[in-house]
Amino acid sequence: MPISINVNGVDREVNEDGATPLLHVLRNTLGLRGVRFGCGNEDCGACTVLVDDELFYSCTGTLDAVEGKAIVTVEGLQGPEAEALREAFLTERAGQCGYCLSGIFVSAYTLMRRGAPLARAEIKAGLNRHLCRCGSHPSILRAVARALSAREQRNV
Amino acid sequence: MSELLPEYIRTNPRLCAWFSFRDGPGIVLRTGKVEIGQGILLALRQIAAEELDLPLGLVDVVSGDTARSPDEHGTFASLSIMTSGPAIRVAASELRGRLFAAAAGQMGVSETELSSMEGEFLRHGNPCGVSYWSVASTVDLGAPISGSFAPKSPDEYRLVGTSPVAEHLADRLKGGAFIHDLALKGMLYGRALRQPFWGAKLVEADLDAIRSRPGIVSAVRDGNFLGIVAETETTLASAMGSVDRFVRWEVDSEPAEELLPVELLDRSDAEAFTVTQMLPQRERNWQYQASFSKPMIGHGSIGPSCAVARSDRGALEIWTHSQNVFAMREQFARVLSLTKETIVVRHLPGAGCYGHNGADDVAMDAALLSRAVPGHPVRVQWSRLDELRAEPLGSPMRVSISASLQDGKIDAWRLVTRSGTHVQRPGWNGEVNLLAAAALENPWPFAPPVDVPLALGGGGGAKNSIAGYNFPQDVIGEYVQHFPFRLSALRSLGAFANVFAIESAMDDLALLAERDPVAFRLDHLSDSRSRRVIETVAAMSNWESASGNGGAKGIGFAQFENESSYCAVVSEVEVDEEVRLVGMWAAVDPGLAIDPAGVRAQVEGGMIQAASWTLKEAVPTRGRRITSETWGDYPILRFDEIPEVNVKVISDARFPATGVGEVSLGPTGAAIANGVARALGIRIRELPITRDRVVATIMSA
Repeated sequence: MPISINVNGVDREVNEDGATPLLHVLRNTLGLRGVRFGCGNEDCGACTVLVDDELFYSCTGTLDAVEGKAIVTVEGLQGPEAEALREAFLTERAGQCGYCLSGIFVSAYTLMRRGAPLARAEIKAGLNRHLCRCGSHPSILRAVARALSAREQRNV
Repeated sequence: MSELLPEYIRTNPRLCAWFSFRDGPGIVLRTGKVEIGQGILLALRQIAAEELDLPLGLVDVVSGDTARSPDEHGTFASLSIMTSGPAIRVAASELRGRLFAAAAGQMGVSETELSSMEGEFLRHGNPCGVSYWSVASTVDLGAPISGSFAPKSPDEYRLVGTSPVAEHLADRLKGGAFIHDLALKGMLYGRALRQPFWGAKLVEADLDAIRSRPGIVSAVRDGNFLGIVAETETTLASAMGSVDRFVRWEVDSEPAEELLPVELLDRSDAEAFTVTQMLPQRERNWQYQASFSKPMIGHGSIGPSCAVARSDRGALEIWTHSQNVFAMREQFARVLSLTKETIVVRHLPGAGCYGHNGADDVAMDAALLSRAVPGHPVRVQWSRLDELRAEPLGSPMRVSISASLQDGKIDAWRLVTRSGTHVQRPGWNGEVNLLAAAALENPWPFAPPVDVPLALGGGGGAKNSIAGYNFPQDVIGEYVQHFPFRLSALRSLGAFANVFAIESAMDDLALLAERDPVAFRLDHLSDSRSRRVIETVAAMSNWESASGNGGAKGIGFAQFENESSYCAVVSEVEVDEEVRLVGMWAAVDPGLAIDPAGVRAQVEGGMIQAASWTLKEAVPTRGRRITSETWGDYPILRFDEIPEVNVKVISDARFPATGVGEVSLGPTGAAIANGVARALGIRIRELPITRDRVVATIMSA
């Protein structure tokens, strides 16, 4: 029996075993390779996607667990918040190798959607599920702060 | 002329080794250097675009491809900007010169009448319908580079020295940017079973049982090498989860005594060598003696090592994130009994690379497994467990310093630095040096470890063991050749431990001399560039101002390899039982900064990585085994521990560009340790400075 999921706004019927990691479905079945494997143990956050608007580890989460739900990957993040974030990441040169970046971007997007100004400590807490080894944290924090402040200015 | 040309121009003399033309407007820069997260390709494109007066958008790059790139001996030691930069500058100015000659010849005018803008020639400043692209076919790219076209003078630069938008980062937010994303037709998924400890023997393997698992295409055993190939990533993961039941490994004998790697180092036989000898030989009463250590540490790349290989009718095609595709081609040829001409090795980006990690090993895994399924590309990706346990590690080190003071200044200094090797790369010391090759029935054993010689950037364990201050010093290296763990290059090699120790001792001695640590350093420095980074970072961090809230500042300084970039770091810490980083500042002088934002990123990243090493990291072991299973067993710095970081890049075009990838690590470790010592009033000399160590130190004081 195919399993129904909605990915980046499109309804999909997936013919895979329900125990298949969502990460494999997204990358290998659906070709969404912005989602990345890092540890397989919910330690690093590289595989982070949104499931019904909540952050979700796609490496340990299975296809079964997301049946009937709406999944958004980094490729599916659109709109003014996502654009402001992309621009800020480039302006701040946020990231070096960039492997951790797509997962971080998903978490940063949820911070943008919170709709309140955030202190640096709150941004750090919001990204704390992610590991980065290049030490790009300061530039990533600057980028998210920049995007948040751009949003504030737009809303005024 | 030719003896004045850069080394890589002499070894790759033809212009076509460095450049080709796009089909439409634009050029393709060919480089043997590869992107490993350091942003080098952007800086190299800037150099080429600068000489050719082209916008960056008209300069593509082909990188690290044995079929299409010049051999530039790999990408490591922060050398690319120093070695490849000048080569590209010379090649690009040659190309520009020949394009101008061709255009002038075609138009029957003097070259002095011509200029160019975005590849279009202008005659007396006016468009003339002739462009780089229209005359390209008349330029003989096969001819050797003459070196007779002078590159621009730095005061003419318009692109070099600016920070362009790093468009490659935008690509990283999509799929397809990494080797992990390569999806080829007919691709299968393989993985090798890693030995439980370095060199362990496979006693028994039930291949039939493994092959009977669903979705398994092939199971291969060759000596102590065991690998499987599956139809999908999911069936592979499932099979790997059960494979332990079907194999039996040699059991390692329990050690009589459990020792930390650094304790093992202390007790090992070592060979002494002189790094420098400046003190007259006589008995001394040292006023100060202290010993410092650094544990064995890992690379911890966030993305696991990955490679894709396809074997077909005696030919081998490999995609890898190796730092040296040319060296890897040699090893594939040897191990697989192929000629080099039948092998193509192509670089694709992996996750951040900080030295010799699992990239080369996984490529050999893929090459071996691809022979079991000819024609099918085989993708091999290590597990996190493989990463934690099988990658080469940074050597533990012990650094002992003795010194004496006269009139408040150091008048004698003796440093002994003990270390295992910092290089066992593929091909080093004549051997293959890859896990899978060493595990085969007819093995390619690892070479007896030989550390980086002193002549190469000041060596491996001895790197930066000479203090960059004006006092007479003896420096002795102690090399431990045989060590039960596989050691190789990790960012800054021995410089991290040596600078941590030297700069810690400088603070201890400043205290003895009753001098401020910054002033004490300046008392021993006449070199203007050294003084400038220290004075700059002191000003940036308001060094003189007292920190509230129990916070304390510490400083660390070094010129990387005593001949490359300069860096001084101040860190502010608060210590209760745990060390909390409040702020970090750095001043860096890389000579001419090609891409200042790239310099800043490398320095800042190095500071965060070094902070993680200093406060958290040590590879856990038991006997010959590495025991970490997850990131939980090898914690690294997380977002909630990141301080405010401020980096000032002092670009100075009077000096050639030097590398910055490794410059900030040692100074940062020292700055944090010095801050902690000031906060506690007691010095912790063993890294990492964990909560347990802080508590133990306070209790024993």
